[in-house]
Amino acid sequence: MMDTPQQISRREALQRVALFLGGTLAASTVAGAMAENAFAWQPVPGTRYPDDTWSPRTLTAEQLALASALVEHIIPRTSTPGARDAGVPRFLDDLLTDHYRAPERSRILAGLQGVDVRALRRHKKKFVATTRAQQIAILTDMDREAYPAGGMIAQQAKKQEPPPRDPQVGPGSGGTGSLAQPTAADVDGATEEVKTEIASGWFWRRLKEITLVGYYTSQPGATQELRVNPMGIWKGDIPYRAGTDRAWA
Amino acid sequence: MFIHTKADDYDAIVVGSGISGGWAAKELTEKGLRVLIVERGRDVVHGRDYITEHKPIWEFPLHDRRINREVQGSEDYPVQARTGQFRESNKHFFMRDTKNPYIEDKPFTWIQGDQVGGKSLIWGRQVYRWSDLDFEANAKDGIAVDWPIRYADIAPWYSYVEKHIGVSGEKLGLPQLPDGEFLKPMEMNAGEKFVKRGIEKNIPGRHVTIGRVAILTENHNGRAACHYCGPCERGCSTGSYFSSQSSTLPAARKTGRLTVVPNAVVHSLIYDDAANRVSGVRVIDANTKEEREYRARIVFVNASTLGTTRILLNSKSARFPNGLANSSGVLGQNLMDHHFQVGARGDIVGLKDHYYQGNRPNGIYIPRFRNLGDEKTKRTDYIRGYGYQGGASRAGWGRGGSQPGFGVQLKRQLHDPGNWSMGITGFAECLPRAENVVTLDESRKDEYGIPVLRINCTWGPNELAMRKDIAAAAAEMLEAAGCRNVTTYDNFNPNGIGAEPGLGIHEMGTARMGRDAKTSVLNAYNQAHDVPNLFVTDGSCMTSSSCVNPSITYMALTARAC
Repeated sequence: MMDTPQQISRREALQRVALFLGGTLAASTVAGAMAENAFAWQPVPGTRYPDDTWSPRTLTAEQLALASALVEHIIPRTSTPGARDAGVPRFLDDLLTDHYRAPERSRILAGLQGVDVRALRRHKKKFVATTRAQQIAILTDMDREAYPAGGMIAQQAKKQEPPPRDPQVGPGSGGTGSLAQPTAADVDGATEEVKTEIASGWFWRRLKEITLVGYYTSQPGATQELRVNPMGIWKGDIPYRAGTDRAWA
Repeated sequence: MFIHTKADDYDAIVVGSGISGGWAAKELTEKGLRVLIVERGRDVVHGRDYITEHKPIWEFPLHDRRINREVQGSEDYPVQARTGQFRESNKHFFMRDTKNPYIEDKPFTWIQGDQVGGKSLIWGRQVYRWSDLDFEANAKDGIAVDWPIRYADIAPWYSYVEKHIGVSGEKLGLPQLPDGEFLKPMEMNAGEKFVKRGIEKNIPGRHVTIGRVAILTENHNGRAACHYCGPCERGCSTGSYFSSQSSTLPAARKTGRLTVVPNAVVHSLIYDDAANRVSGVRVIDANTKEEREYRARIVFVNASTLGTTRILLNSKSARFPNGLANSSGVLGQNLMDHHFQVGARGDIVGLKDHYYQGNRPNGIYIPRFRNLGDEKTKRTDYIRGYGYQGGASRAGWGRGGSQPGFGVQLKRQLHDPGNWSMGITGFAECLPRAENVVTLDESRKDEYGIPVLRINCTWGPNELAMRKDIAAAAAEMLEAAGCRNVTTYDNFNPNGIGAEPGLGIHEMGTARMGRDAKTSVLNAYNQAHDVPNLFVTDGSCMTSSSCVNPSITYMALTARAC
């Protein structure tokens, strides 16, 4: 076969892509085979993360610590990297600084504070100071409140609807320090905006979205947890083996 | 003050280097003419200037977020940010709106390229031949004016163009969607094959085919077959999709007779009253604002539908006080676009052991099946018709944001692809109506001193009636195919943004072809009735809109006119 200049450049293009996939194109097949027993579905909480040294531009140190804990709860480190390994806290800070405009940024920061308010009301401690089990219990409540039907939420709910004027208490917020009895509320410094955000469910859905985007479009998320769709060929119908194969990133 | 060039530097000037301008330059240079392209945007060199091609998503600061009007980065692009195509990885191929302001009397989204290659770098690449159903439509319906050509006039030029650019697709033998010179079709995925089987079995007369695209599935004319990286609109250094850079400009350059001058904003055409000829163009340098003139014996205006119309309107003389070649008065009227953003989606049960590999930059197409000229397909609530574009896929990790759960369970779930679903969206014909009009607003000028366009365009009763049927027929087909949880949608918002004219980026019709100089601007060869050395072969020449994507018709008309 003759090599036209274009064909050479195509080959070069494919090789360039192979580089960022971490080897030749065939490597993804190898990785696929190796992956067969590589996924253990247990959380592996860590104390050190590869990207711990940067300085946030919008988040305070305290907000960063809280956000880091939250995103790691959403996508924890298992046998593959988790959200913190993948730099999701930094991605969040980048979005808050360079992407969202003031109203949305403000809602996200209020939502973060709302998580601490929940922890204070329930445990008289800020979220990061509570135990792992307490944290998961709080987030389980938040998740249940954010998806009231218990299933897929309507498209409209995903849009940026203004928060309700009268915060409604979600079904899962009972128990000690419940929002239904905000007796201690005023000592935790919750503004109206924070209270509104606690009740709306918007913050938790948005944080999950940000975490998923940040994680699965990161190099670790896209290449170690999932796999990058290799270039070079289109096959419309290939077999998929659950448990062995992975989704394309 | 304009600086003059020598009168005999060029035989022809082509204004614009996009899809049709590139074709004009190729044809004219290959016929021996010395051609000058003046392009308002910056230069974009094939390969070198595709700065985001194959860049992994994690190397973009914001991971290639879409830039909509709600977020930072859209400040200078308030209009371009309305299209879903506009994002971190390709914003450098879109017009900075602050450089070309315009007035919307009613919502109209004007999406523009601003570089050598124009929108050919970022277009949708879907190419479908028109048929006599389209060319005869105005005459049969008794609206607007008749096309001065029929399918037989243009068919050989479709073949000529297809052989050069390379089009992949499947032959169907349908009169309303004539077959072309196709490279092998791309394969459908398992979900699409499932839907195709169901629709074709249960609703006779309906067809589901793979999209016909100007993307190579085989090596072709020295260009390489597609490598399925996915986002064509970042530019393709292997030239696997048609753009001016990959296809027409190299052919024109090969003759040694092409000159391209970027950053040259055309202010107006120079009209010689005594000779009744255009003698050249006045341009303003986009960077220095210096004014220059270029002269030639022939001028082709290919500045995009609205760009071309604006130049002609701004070229005023004693004989043409309302715009060059506008003795008819129809210049600027009959603005059309395809209306879309209406359709249906549904879940496909099963097929969990089927997947796909590669990023196919193409979907499926459902050809028009309404008002085909027989009683069986005739509608009483509207005239003309529509087709659908769409596709099936398995849900990706993004589904995790709209369902409850977090932690290991969620991570494990998203490790596998989700359920299959299928979506189809109508692409529908729009009627030419005189009241959909663009004019110059002399009270407001852009930074080059050119009066801005004022656009007044709305969908009419025929389009709105058709949209109801588009949604209903989409749902009917998906249900017939066996999809579950079928839902319809229509993003049209009567007073706002959603499915407004312009969003289809198929604007056309404001300098239409026709048989009569009293009611049209151009004749059957895209030559101005009024000024014999003036040609217009971009979308502004269109007399009706059909329902299929128009670009290949612009290419064929251009080749035919040269």
